[in-house]
Amino acid sequence: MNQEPVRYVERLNEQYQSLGYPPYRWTINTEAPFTPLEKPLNECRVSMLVAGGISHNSRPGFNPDARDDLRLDEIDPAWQPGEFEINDSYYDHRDADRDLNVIFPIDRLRELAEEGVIGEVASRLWSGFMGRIYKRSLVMEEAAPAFARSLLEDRVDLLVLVPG
Amino acid sequence: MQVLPPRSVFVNHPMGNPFGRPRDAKMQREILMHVLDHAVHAREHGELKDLPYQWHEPILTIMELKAGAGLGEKGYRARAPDPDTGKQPL
Repeated sequence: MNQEPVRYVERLNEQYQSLGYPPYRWTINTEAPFTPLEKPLNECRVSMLVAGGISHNSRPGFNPDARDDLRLDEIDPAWQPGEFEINDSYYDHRDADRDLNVIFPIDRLRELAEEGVIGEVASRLWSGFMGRIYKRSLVMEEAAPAFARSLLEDRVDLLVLVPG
Repeated sequence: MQVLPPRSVFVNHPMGNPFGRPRDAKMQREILMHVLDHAVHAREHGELKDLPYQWHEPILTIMELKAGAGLGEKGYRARAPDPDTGKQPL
């Protein structure tokens, strides 16, 4: 059974309107700086960021209904999928509760490094920016540049971002 | 494509399942490889790669799941506690 992609933006606009909220101001970017990879994949250090309320069990859970939550956790790439919990009210994460790899494929990333498909997994993976962020200037002027600096510190060549 | 990340991959799976099904390491790996491959081969800013995967079940939004609407002939997953975790439906 083939189906059309869900029009999430339209659905959310309708929902917010029905709840009496003013129209959400979606970010519209007209440019996307393109940075080609400078080395072959099997020499690249790869990191990954997931935005879906995913926290390691050594830390408090995310607030599932948060707004403007810019929390960003460092994830040790050696941690196992069963050591995480998910707190996010805005997507169905029951499959991810059973196997984190459906949204944050840390096992698969490690395997690709072990097999030499990628150079290595970065020393830090990331979980945060879980959505409903209204303070865009805070993201663009502070949180995102700080995150970019962390990636540079870790000499990351390639970052995979996964929305939740 | 309003946010326009430098490169992106779209897969028509439910939110929460971008890499596929639980315990399906083959599909998870395939999709991750598509992502990495796109990072290698994309040549234009904002280039979107649309992967040919289909979910083969109705894709419901979280709003629909919470409302219990359109759950289909199987009663869908929202009706019963998850068999693995025992968690209650949303």
